[in-house]
Amino acid sequence: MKNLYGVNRLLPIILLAGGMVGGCGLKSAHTPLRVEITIQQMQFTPSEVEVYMGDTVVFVNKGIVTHDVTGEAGEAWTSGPIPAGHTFELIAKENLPYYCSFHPTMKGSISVLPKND
Amino acid sequence: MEKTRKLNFKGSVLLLASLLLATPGYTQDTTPKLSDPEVAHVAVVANQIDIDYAAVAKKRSKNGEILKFAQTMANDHAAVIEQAAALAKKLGVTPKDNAVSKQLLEGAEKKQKELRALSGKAFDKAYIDNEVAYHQAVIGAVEGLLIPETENAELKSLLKNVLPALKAHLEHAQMVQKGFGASE
Ligand SMILES: [Cu+2]
Repeated sequence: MKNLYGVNRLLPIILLAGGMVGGCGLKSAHTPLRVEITIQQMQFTPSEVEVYMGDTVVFVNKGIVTHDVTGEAGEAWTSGPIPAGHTFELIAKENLPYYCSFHPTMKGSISVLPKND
Repeated sequence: MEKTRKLNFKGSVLLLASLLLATPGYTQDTTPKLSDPEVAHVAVVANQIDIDYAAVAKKRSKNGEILKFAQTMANDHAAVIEQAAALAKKLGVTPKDNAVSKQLLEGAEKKQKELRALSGKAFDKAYIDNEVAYHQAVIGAVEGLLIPETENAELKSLLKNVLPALKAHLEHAQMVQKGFGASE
């Protein structure tokens, strides 16, 4: 199931901004958002998110053990260990299919949409 | 090899079950056969055993995948023990030695001896086979015995919270095991 987090959260903010600035409106580059992914019960939730380029993705480890976020692609990028109770942030730049290198059964993906300006 | 492992696994579960049933002094359905302090102790011991297996692996293995798996087991099971200890403290419960925890320790000592006698690929294979069997047995014990035996809601929920990690460890161990099985 795709999660259109970015889009859902974007609307009220655009409307609000449009109202306040009055006019420069709906087509302006959107304010970067923060999208949260919870790590709990040995799962990334939601496991699939769609965000806009420049949005911040925050991983929140609410579990009991240390996890990480490691890119599936060749030269594996990794967040490094994220201990229980800690968070890790990244700025979305490109699609990122990822897994946890400590627990390879844990997987997820971030799809990045270009900025609509 | 395959057959032995299955027998061992089945044996250890049967042993756990028979020990529990044989524990005297309780009437069938009103009183738990394990008290909460005993459940807490079994949980701590079961986690410590896997940390000890990991320590053996760190000494005897040179395989990167095995070493990383062992390190994860050591870290994760230590985190669970920390949680269990914190909860026991909060509840004022002193984990209590019992037939089940003793039996677990005896079995683990025997297995450790076996593992220490091996090296190289034979060790790696035996270690990961044991990790699969051990996690299966512990998951069985947590689901079938410890959770039902537990009265305290927080202890019960801690045990339930640990299950996804145990299951992820099992799947991970099975993935690693497949890699070793292919070359045999
Ligand atoms: Cu993980």
